[in-house]
Amino acid sequence: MSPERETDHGMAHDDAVPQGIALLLADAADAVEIGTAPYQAVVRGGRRRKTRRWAVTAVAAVVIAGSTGTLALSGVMDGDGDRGSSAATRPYTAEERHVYKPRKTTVGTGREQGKDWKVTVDVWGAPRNEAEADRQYAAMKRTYKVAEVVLNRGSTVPAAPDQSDWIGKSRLYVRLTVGDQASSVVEEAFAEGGVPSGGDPKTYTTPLFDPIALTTGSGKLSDRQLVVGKVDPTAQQVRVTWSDGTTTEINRDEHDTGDQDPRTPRLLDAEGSSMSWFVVLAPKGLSHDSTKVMK
Amino acid sequence: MGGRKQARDAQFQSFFIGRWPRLLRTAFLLTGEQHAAEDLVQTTFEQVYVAWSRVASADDPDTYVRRVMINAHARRHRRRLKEFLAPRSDSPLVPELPDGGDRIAQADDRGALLKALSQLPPRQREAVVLRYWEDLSEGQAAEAMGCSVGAVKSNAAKGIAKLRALPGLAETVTQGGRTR
Repeated sequence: MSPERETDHGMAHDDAVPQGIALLLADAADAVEIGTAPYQAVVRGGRRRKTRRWAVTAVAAVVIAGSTGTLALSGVMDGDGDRGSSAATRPYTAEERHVYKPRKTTVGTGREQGKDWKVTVDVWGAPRNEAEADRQYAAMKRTYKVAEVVLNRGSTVPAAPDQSDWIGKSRLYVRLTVGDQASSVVEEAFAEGGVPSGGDPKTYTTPLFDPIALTTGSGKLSDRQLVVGKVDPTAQQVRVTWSDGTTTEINRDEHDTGDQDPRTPRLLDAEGSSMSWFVVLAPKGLSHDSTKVMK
Repeated sequence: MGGRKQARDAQFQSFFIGRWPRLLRTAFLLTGEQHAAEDLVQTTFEQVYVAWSRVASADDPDTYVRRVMINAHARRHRRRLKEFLAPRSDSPLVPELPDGGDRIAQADDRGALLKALSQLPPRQREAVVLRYWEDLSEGQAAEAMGCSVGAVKSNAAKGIAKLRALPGLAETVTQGGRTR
């Protein structure tokens, strides 16, 4: 145990206590009989679970409509993936962990009123110390140009990273670019290493052009509503229901040959995120009502 | 496609076999019983198998696996499933050991510790096992337990305090364990 570890025990009594417990625990743990790892049984069980999940997955979508600010969610749904293999033994550098340059995946594109729009999911690896955190913050400011937009859209004061909250957390930003204007519409922080995804889907909505267009006026929609959703990676099809009851089905392309129109909404994996994502533009005059995973 | 699946399965198999002994020991300390421990680890890896492509590409797959296992352990308590942590007459926890003063003393310690652990609330037990058997930092333990660092500190401290208070364990705990 390192000296640092010893000091952070925070125990009211002497250090011999944890040391003694550690020895006793190690001894007690030795009493278990280590038989052959039941690989086949685990695989069978895993396959059963997979089948069951596909069959009964249901979604309770959370809709955040007409948001004018960054939607900050302390998430535990996404895994931070930068290693190609779990068998890797050497420590990965900050660059390899994408601490200073995010993994970027385009999850939706389109063209509206003569302007191209694009939605990307940017995932920044978790800094492991203050130096990495500071450098990451600086890189974010450079990448996104305006820190306020990145860290707290609408805020005039950039939020300096709180080291206790920043270190060890990966950060995910959903970026909406319309023409040459970009902004963050979703921000999430999640623990390094991630935790199981498993059925906590969310749907976010935002006006495509004007942040306040959908929330003011007489109720008539003057803008198109953009829907960004994340679902369990095992989902194969999602149904989005609009305010008039019509629906749009969004499928996963298992055998994407690259020939498909990139503007067609579909379920896509984003590098570094353990969830699948979709982006769909609401039909003119309509807004998002609900999202449901169909299969 | 088939080749990719094979490679994926081979990678999972290698990971599973490599982690099995260590996690089985952790599960044994959490559940106190051989079969319950095997069941807990097996359940954990079934879930890991489902999400393997994500786990394999994660920064630290072990963090993920630990979290799954602690969740599974906590779920069992919530569902009030039977646990066998306390040594009972029909569930001998301490294996037969060869004669010899130290070995007998060790077996006594094991039984006493497992019994003492069984009397801790699940969260305190998890905190103690993760901190002092898995040797995780408070932050790592908090991540595995899905709680704050403060909660880990509190649970671990309370757990240790209770273990210290138990007759027979206090001496070995405070003296750093028996000499082996």
